[in-house]
Amino acid sequence: MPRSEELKLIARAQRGSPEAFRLLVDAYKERLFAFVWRMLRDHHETEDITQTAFVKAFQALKQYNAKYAFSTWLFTIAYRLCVNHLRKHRPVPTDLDFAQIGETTEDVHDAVAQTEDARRLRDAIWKSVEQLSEAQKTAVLLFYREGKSCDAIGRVLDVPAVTVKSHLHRARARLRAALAAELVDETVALEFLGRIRTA
Amino acid sequence: MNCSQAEKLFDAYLDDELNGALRLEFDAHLVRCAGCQRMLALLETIGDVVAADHDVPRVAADFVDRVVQDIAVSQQAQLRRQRWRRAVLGVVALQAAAAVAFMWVLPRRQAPRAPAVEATATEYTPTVAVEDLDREALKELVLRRAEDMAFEWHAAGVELTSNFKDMLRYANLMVPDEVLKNSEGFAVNPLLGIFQALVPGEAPEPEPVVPDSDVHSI
Repeated sequence: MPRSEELKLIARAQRGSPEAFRLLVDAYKERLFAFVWRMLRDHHETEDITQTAFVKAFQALKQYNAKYAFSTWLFTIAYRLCVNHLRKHRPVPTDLDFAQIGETTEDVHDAVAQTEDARRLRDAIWKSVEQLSEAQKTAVLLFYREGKSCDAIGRVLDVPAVTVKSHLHRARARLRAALAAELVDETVALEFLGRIRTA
Repeated sequence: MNCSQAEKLFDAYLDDELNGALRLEFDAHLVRCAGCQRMLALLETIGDVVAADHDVPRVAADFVDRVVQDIAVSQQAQLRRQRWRRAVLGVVALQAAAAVAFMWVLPRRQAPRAPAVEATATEYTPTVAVEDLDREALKELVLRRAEDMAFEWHAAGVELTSNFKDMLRYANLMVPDEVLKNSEGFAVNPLLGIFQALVPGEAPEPEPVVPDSDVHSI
């Protein structure tokens, strides 16, 4: 959605238009849901938290500052709800609910390689991401998945941009160390990586 | 450039912040070093995998409807709270108005206050100039006279004044003008204020105990 159109919707929602807010929810629900799911790894909790995040966003809409991206503001609310939830409930590792997994897109460039080796590496990457701290995981998700700048991520985490860079640096180092075991053979490894990146 | 130096530049390279001569050195090292190539490729792959995240469960079809419904419910709850708050405030305001009216009417029905009694010097020692006294004597005099006056005026039903000049006249104390001026701020007990102005830095003794009935206001 273009920024100008989004701002108009926000203005209408701030004046109390439920229909305008409905359109905003529809525009952001997938991204916010994916972020919360990666943080909590539980489908039902993810739905609850994502729903609560949107309700809280509507209630606090008058405080939204148009200087910043609406998505950053939404992710800030969702992040804080996730952190509060994780502090109260220790996360229970669950298997992927395959019945709920969406189909891969038609776009060839977005499709992930389907070979057994590539899947293994992809699963290993996500398993390692799950082991990161809340702040590091959030930085990685928002940086790579959402394409957010370190400044924007800093607003979500309520820390300076330089701290976000530190989180990213440490996350990368941890992920590298955790995944080094997967790269048993140089030649094979390069082949895996080449296949995944060009799929 | 060696591997250790190159590794330190991985973040800058991945964040697209590596430029100029340093970038050239880094690229030159990568061409020669399979180990660093592998590490960098792994980090780039991590980013690509996270960015192309497909393994997320689908959002329920009625998700948006549920959010809108939640919002409607919370708005109704807020409206109910506001109405309740207004009702409570209304009752409190009525009670406060009734209390104020009661307090306004009641004093007018009481017996008229006794006329102000002009204190005389008959019960006290003659007028004393404070400069003639030493510290202890002055302290004792001020406190004793304050205590005596409080009892006397309470008995006469007279409202004590916070006017220093009147207090001094009643207590038959003469103080220099500048001391009088410096004591203007001591509304609690003017005589103690004068004492403090005369002997700065020394805390006066506690005020004498007055009778139960709180008629006076020093």
